[in-house]
Amino acid sequence: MSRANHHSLAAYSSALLAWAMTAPAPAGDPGLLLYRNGQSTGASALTALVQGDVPITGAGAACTNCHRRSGLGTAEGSVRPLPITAPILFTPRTGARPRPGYTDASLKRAVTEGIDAGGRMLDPLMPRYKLTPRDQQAITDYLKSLGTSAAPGVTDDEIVIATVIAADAPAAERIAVERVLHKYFEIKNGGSRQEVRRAAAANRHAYGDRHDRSYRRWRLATWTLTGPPSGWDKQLRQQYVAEPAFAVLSGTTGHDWDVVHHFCETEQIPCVLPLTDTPPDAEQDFYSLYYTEGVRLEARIIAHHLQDQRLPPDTRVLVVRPDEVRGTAAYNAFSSAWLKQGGQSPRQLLLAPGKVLDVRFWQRTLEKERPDILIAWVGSGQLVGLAAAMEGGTRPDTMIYTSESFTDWTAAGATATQLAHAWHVSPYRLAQGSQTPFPREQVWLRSQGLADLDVRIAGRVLFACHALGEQLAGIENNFSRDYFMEGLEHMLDNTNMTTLYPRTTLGQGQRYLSRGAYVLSPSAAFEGTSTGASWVEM
Amino acid sequence: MARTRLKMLLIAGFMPLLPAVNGLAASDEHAHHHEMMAAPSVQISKHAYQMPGTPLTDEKGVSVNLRDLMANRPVVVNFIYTSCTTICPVMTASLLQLQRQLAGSRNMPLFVSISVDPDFDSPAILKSYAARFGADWTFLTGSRADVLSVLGGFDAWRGSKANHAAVTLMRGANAGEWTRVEGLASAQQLASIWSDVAS
Repeated sequence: MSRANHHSLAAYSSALLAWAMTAPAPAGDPGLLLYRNGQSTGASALTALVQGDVPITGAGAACTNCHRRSGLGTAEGSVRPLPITAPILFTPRTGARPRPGYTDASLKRAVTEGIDAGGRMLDPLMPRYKLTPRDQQAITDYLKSLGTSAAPGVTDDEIVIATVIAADAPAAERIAVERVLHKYFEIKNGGSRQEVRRAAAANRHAYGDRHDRSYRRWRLATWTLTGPPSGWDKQLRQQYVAEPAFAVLSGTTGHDWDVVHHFCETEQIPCVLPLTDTPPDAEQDFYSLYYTEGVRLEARIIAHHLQDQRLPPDTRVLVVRPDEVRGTAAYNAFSSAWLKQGGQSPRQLLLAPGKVLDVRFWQRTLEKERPDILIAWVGSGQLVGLAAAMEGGTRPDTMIYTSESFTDWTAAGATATQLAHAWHVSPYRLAQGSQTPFPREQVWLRSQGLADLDVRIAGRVLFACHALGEQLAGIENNFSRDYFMEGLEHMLDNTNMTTLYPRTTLGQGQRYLSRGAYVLSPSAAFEGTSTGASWVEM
Repeated sequence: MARTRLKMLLIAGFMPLLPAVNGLAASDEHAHHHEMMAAPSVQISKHAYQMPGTPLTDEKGVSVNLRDLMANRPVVVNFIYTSCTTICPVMTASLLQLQRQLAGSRNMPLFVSISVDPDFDSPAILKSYAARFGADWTFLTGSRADVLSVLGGFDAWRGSKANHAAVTLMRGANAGEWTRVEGLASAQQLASIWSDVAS
């Protein structure tokens, strides 16, 4: 361990360090499997009694259900499980309900009989486990390692936060990420309240440990990616080694986020709210948090909206979309939902990069394909020709769908009002009355001289910063990445902070902050009003 | 909502003390403390909830009218969500244990778990949650508005899912009145309360 980090580690006795300072348990470790999955080392399932007489088994009896991965636990209802990291368990506790540090024997009593090291009964909610000697050894060894390895990127006075920017990401996103993060970090580190001085003096103050010691300056590391995604993992690794970061904040790649996602999962780095329309299936994983499921959410909402119209089974659907990852992800998500609803396989027209769609293209396409439903996953400029083709065309009843990840109606008012028989899917908040949809974000951007940034991009970078700040304050001196993620789940479900999304919610294992979108007319999308809009959740 | 609070008692004081788990010796210096703690504290009260006719969806994806589902039959209802830590796994295990204890009895109640996280808990997710516990009863979800209206009707919504209360509701076949168990109960406590409700 380089410089001192966990406050709790500092209090750790040196004798204990000698036998407990082991590396974190590897993935196949029997203690880890027992702790996280409730998997016994033997042939029969792990069993325990909870609340006195309620049997629980296997995954239902896993330690992680209450104490979480971090061992620090999060509150649920009125229940607050005790923290069980090694530095806490094996150190004597003073103050209210004092107890000596645990030994192997007293740990066994706690886990099997519910008696703590001080001889007190633990809450009946703490399961009384039936353990084989091997199970007992596995869980004891695991608990001796839990919470003992310091998270990289945290020193006595500084926490390093990285962002990821690919050179060929859209300029508007690259610029917004850089400018908002730099400005936010500058303000955060302004030291306007003498935080650094108070943190340095924390050990001389009676309550300094509690109030000031956890303060860290934020340092931003920008990890740059160049070339094709196949080379990104190596580039990320090199930059991480050169400048280890505690977490990855926001970021943009212009391609899939997959490489960054897998890098963060492998290295167990929290990856907080990047700008991406194609997040991977994050709920199988742990360390990556996204705003929405991106194009997949929008595609499924179109399918859902069609289902509500009870269309005949021979309804012809045509998808016009770019021949790139976002287009493919959107098509696949729509197609699978549509087929499940009993629809026929949707046709698709793939657009090469740079292809211009004029009125002739749309006329020909409508006449040849004769779609009942046209999903146009193209930019608003490409829809000028479609609006003209629809007027007096041969397919006036064709219903058109667009969605926010592809089409920005805010800059295309004339076309939006021309497309009468059309729906647009947007995950963002809409204006209430005469107010703009994002007043708080706009005020912040204006006050920081960033009003020229697109609020729907910059507002997402800004909220990621707010979430990081709130959660780093919430974890106090427990710089554990697992605890950071667990706290985010909890904090973001109850947050008072406004986001660009109408409603956000999160829970254990949930990794998409917003799960719905509005379906509204393009003209309402242009005006940003909620007139005629319906909110759909998936 | 008309609601009468007829009685509120700490059941721990009225329940027979549970046998010590794992054969704790009676001579244990903490045995007294242990026994006091062994029967969890729960609060019991009576309420006349208006049964909402709200449409919900069960774990098989079938639309269910709550009032029809519960009409003229004994019911035990609790409130859970699948991402919940600490409380819900225990509540689900307790209900399962109660169901096992009541197996074969007359007046076997209908067991219903209502999700407090309709945003996430789709029928498929509820189904796999039920399977994880071996829970063979009805799990309900629905649109957020519908679920919140049901939760409101049962006074079981506390503003956010992670703030949800450990509540079990019981009602006899033709009783108008519900028995509300607040807190995490042992299976024996639940069975004892149920026998009062069912008699």
